[in-house]
Amino acid sequence: MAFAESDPRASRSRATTVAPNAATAKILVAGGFGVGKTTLVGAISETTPLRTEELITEASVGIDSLAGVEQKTTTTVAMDFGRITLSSALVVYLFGAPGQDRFWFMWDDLSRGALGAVVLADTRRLESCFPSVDFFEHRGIPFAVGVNCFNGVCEEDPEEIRTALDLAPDIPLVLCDARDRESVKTVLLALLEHVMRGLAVEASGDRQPV
Amino acid sequence: MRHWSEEDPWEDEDPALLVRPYTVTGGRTPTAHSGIELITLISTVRPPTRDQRLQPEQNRLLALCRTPTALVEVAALLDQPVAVIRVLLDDLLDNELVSVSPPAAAGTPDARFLQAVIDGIRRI
Ligand SMILES: Nc1nc2c(ncn2[C@@H]2O[C@H](COP(=O)(O)OP(=O)(O)OP(=O)(O)O)[C@@H](O)[C@H]2O)c(=O)[nH]1
Ligand SMILES: [Mg+2]
Repeated sequence: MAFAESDPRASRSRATTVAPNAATAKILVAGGFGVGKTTLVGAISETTPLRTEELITEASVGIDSLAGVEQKTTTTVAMDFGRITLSSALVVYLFGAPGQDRFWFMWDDLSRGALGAVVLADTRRLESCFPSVDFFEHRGIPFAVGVNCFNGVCEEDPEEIRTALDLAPDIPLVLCDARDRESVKTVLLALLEHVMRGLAVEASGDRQPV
Repeated sequence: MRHWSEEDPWEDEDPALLVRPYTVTGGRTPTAHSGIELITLISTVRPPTRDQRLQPEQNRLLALCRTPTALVEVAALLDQPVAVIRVLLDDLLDNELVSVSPPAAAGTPDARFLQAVIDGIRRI
């Protein structure tokens, strides 16, 4: 489209002009509070992570005098996202969102159509990523675990972390630095290759003998 | 004075009156165009004609989406909840001022698509 090219915003931190019918993909970044989700998204995104705040109406049951009466409360949930334009025909969006129990309803929405998820873990508070691991396991959403080594070096033994998280042997676990673009690429590739292996297994399982 | 929800959204002469989410949408909720997801790209097809009186937010959306922009990004840049942008989009789609990128096939991703993402990320 001619006017898209002459628009100064076309260069809005994006080297390639995206076609209106380009394919888009979504990857999730989950994990406990302050584990480095936004940092990871920012390290690989071509924009600084953008934020949207969604107003979400939750039904909650009153515990006071109006016992049993449903009340609606409106919660604001923030999510960050970043963008990677891979070509004029393909754009990947990374979404980082809070991994607290009360926000799982949002993850249900977010995970629809996602390629998979990165669960970020911090070895100093490993348990903070348990809910995210549980969520993706139960929903059957492929995920990889990225262990964010905050001081740049990880002294922990990856196998010990795997055991502590009770991860299935096929789930990738990668030590990473959420601030480092190449390191983040490694995590994303570990996830995507895991998703690809899952597809291959599925295809061979579904195949009917000819 | 009528309640705002009874007013014709196009009737208002003064664009500066426009403001709050859900006032912006005239109290409507989006339903008409489903299949638009957070990462669906919105692209402006043509500018509005003179008799198509749009709300300021819709004009901003059209200006922004001259570069194809995902729904979630439109929401972030226009500083409105996604739900509000969806409603604003309904009219723009009805009037064929914007187009949306085709939805991804439901279910597990296609291996070729996945490989393209893998190759792309290796390259960047
Ligand atoms: N030293 C060091 N600091 C980091 C690293 N990753 C993140 N941080 C810092 O840790 C803090 C939290 O990181 P965020 O990326 O905001 O974490 P988050 O998971 O998005 O946090 P919430 O959205 O609040 O849950 C920030 O001050 C980051 O700069 C890291 O690998 N090393
Ligand atoms: Mg964050």
